[in-house]
Amino acid sequence: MKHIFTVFKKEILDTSRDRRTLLIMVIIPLLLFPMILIVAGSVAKSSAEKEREKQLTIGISGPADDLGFREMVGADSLITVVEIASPDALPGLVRKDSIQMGIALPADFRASVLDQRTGKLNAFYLETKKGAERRLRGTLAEFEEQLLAQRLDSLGLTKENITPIALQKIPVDTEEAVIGETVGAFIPYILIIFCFMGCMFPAIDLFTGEKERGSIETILSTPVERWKILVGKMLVLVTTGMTTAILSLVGIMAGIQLTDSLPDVFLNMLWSILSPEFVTMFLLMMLPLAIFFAGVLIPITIYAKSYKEATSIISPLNFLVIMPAVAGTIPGVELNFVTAIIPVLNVVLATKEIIAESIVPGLYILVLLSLVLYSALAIMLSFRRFGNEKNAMRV
Amino acid sequence: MIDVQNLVKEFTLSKKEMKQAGVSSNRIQVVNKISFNCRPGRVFSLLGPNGAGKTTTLRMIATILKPTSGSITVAGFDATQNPNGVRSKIGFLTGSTGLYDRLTPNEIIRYFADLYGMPRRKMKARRSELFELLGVHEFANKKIGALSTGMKQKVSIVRTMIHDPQVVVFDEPTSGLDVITAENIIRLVGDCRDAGKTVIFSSHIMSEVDLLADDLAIIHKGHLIFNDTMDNFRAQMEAPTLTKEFIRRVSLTNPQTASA
Repeated sequence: MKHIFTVFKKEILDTSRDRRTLLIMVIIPLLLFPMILIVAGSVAKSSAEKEREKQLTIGISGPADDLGFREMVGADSLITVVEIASPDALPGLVRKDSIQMGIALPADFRASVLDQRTGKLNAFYLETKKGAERRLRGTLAEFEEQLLAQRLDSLGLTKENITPIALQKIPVDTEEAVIGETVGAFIPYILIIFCFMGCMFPAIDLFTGEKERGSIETILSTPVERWKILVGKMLVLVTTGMTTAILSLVGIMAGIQLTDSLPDVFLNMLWSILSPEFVTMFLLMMLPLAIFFAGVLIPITIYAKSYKEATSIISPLNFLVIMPAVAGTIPGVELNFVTAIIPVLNVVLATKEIIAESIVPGLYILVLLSLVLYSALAIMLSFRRFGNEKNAMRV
Repeated sequence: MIDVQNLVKEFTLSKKEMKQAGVSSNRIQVVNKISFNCRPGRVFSLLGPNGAGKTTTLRMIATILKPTSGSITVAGFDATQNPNGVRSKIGFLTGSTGLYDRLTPNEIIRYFADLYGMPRRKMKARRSELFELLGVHEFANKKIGALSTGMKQKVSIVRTMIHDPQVVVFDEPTSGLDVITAENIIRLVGDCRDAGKTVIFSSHIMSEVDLLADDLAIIHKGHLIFNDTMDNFRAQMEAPTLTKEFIRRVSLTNPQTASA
C-alpha cells in the first residue's frame, strides 16, 4: 500500500502542475457552462429586445376598402404602412429589404368577406428573417377575430355554437419527471464526456509520457511490483476523471444560478434534483465508469510511443463514448435489461430515471454490477498490457 | 557482482515488424547464449555497434526485461526468481535523464528514495551528501524543466545513487551529452569502481571504454565475440588503434563491415 500511495502522491503532484491537464480538469469545467449560459442568455435576450423595438415597413397592395386592415396594422407606432401599386412588386421589395413584409389584398376582398366567403390575403416575407412575420401574426389574428365576431353576430351565432368540443391539455407529470426528460439526460451526458477527458490527458502523460521522457526504465528498475505502480497511476486517473466530472457539475449549477435568462421555477426545480440521494446514486455509477475509462485508456497509452500517437488512437475512441451518451438523450430510449448493460448509455438512462424518481432498484443494481464488471475487465486488460514488456518498452 | 550464464532473449515480431525487419520468422533472437562475469571494484564494459544487443542485455540485468532462457545473478539474487531483490541492489542510468520536468530535484529524489523504501532520515543524509558532492543544492528546488542538460544529468546521478547500490548499470550513459556533462558521468563510473561497487556500462565509443574499462566484452549481433580483461585486449591487438581493432574484430564476424 505504501508504494501505491507513493506513486499516487507523486503523480497527483506532477499532474497538478500540468497546465494542460489543469485547463481540462478545472478551468474548462468550472467556467465553460457559466460562460455559455450567461453569453447565450444575454445574446438571446438582447436580440429579442432589438427585434421587438425594430421599426418595420409593411407594404400593402390592393383595394383601399380593406375593412380597416391598413388602419389596424398602422396602429402600431413601430410599423409604417406604405402603399404598393402592384402586388407583383411585393416579393422583390421584401428581398431588397425596402419593406420587411408585403401583404396583397385581392380585388374582391371586401365582397368576399361580407359575402360570408373567405378573403384570401397573401403575405410575402423572408423565411430566414421571420421577425416581421412574427410581429404581424398577432395583428392578423386580431383582425380575423374581429371579422369573425361580426360575421357570427350577423348570423345570430356565438363562438360556442361553432366550437363543438374544446380540448384542454392538462399535463400531470411530476416536476421531476419533466426535468428528467428535458435536462435529465443532458447533465450525465456532459459529466460523462468531461470524466473521460479528465482521465484521458493524465493517462497520456502518466503512461506514454514515461516513455517520451525516458523514465520508464528508471521506474521499472525500482524494487516496486509493477501492479503497484499501475494501481497508483490508475488511482490518479480515476481521481482526475471524477474531479473533472464533479467540477463540471458545479460549473453547470453555477451557470444556471448566474444566468437570468431562466425562469425561477425552472431554477428551483434544478436545485431540487441535487438531493443527497441523487448525488450519491450518481457518483456510485460514475466511480466504476471512471475506472472503466482509465482501464480502457491505460493499454492504449502504454502501447503508444508518443503523445501524438496516443491522441491519434484515442480520438476515435471519443466517439465510442459520445455515441451512447447521445443515444441516451433521445426521447423514447429507456432503461431496460438490455440498455442497463451498455456502458455509458446505462449511466445516462439511469440518471434520467433517478431524477424522475422512477428508477427501478433492480435495474439500478444491474447498471452498477455491469459497470463494476466492465471496470474489472478493463483493469485486467491494463495489468496484462503493463506487464507486457514489449508494450512497456516499445519506443 | 553480476553473473550471466547462457543468456538468450527472443522477441516475437508482429507482421508489420517482420516486414520492416525483412525477416520471414516471427521470432528474432536479440541476445544469443552470452555468458560473462562482472566483479566488484572493477568496471565491466559492454562494447558493440548499434543494435548489437547491449541495451537488451543491460535491461535483462536490471530486470526490466525477462530472459527467454539462461540465468542472471546480481548481488546474490536471481533476476528471474527474485527481481525485487536485484532491483534493490542496482542503480540504473541511461543517456536519457529520465526525470520529470514538473518536479524539483528534491521531490524526485524523495520519490525514488520512497520507492527504494529508504527511511526518511537516511534519505535526507544521503541526499545532502550527494547534492553537496555534485553541487545540486543551488538548484534543488527549481523545476527540472528549467534546468540545463548538465544539471539534469547531475540529478539523474543522485537518483541512481541515492540508495547506495552495490551494482551500477550504465546504458550508454554519455549518449547525446556534451563533453562537460559526459565528464561528470565518466567521473561517476570511476568513483563507483573506487568505492568497490560492481559497474557494468555499455558504449559504442572506444575512447570511453579505453579510459574506464577493466574488463571488456564485445557483443555483435547478439553474440559475444570477445570477453577478457582490457589489458589482454590491448595485448592481443593486431590493428594500430583500439577503434580499428574493435572494427577488425567485429568485421571478422561480419564481412560487410570489413569491406566498408
